[in-house]
Amino acid sequence: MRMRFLTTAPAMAHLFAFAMLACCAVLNGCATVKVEVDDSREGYAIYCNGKKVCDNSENCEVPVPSGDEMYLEAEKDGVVYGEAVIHRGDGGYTTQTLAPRGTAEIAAKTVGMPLGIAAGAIQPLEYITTTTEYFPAEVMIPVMPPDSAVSAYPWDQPDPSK
Amino acid sequence: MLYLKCMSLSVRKILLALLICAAAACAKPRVYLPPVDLQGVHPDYAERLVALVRQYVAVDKHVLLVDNAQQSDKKLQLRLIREKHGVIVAFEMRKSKDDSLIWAYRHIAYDANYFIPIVSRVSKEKIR
Repeated sequence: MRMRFLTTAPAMAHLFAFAMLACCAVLNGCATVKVEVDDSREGYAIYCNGKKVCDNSENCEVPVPSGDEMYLEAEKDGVVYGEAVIHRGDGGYTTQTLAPRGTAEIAAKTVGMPLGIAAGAIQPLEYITTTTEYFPAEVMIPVMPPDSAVSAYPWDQPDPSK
Repeated sequence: MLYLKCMSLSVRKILLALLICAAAACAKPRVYLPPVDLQGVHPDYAERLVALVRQYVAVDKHVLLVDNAQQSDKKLQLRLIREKHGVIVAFEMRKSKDDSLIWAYRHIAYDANYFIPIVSRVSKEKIR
């Protein structure tokens, strides 16, 4: 009886470890975020934390990284047209446009900043936070020009904030 | 001092080599910013972009900006290229000695306020 226990205990331990790993894989490692862009023409490559994860934004499932942040970028013809930053673990769930944390830090650290730069505190970056330990199942990266860009910004004229 | 005297010559050489290597590893790359290449964009925006790059680089402290190309290890070429709805902000980091490309990054800006998150990201993640 004792011999039988000794032979089955390691087997049970292995089985338990395997079950735990399988659970972790289901909850974490195999989890993906469906990433889309708001341009129906598609054709954007998707990057997550600086690495290309999809050649095309159509049917793009991004594996969840080990860290708490996903920096998603949509690139076409070598140009990044939009990004979304997802942070998990604090704050409320929101998809509204917010100033990225880095900008708030630099605004506090930079003394004597010209008014034109300080006025740029409202950012076009999509910033998403989630209270849960999981990333959202779907994320839309805004890549289309905002309505304000239709009446073109006067790039060839002197900077009005100067 | 006595301890140093007791060390063999070879051990002292190894320590000196390690010290030199550590100093070299800690030294920040010296980066030169050439004039911004403008295509269909007013020079005021080049000034604004360069001011932002200088500010973010000073905060992030990954590199040291120098005013002389001869003293630099790398050069960071900035470009503003007008396109239909906005301007492409292009960054190209090259080695000063042979002009070989290290990395490039291009991002659309629909107005000048877009410069801030773009430069913030590039300074934090790419300028090394």
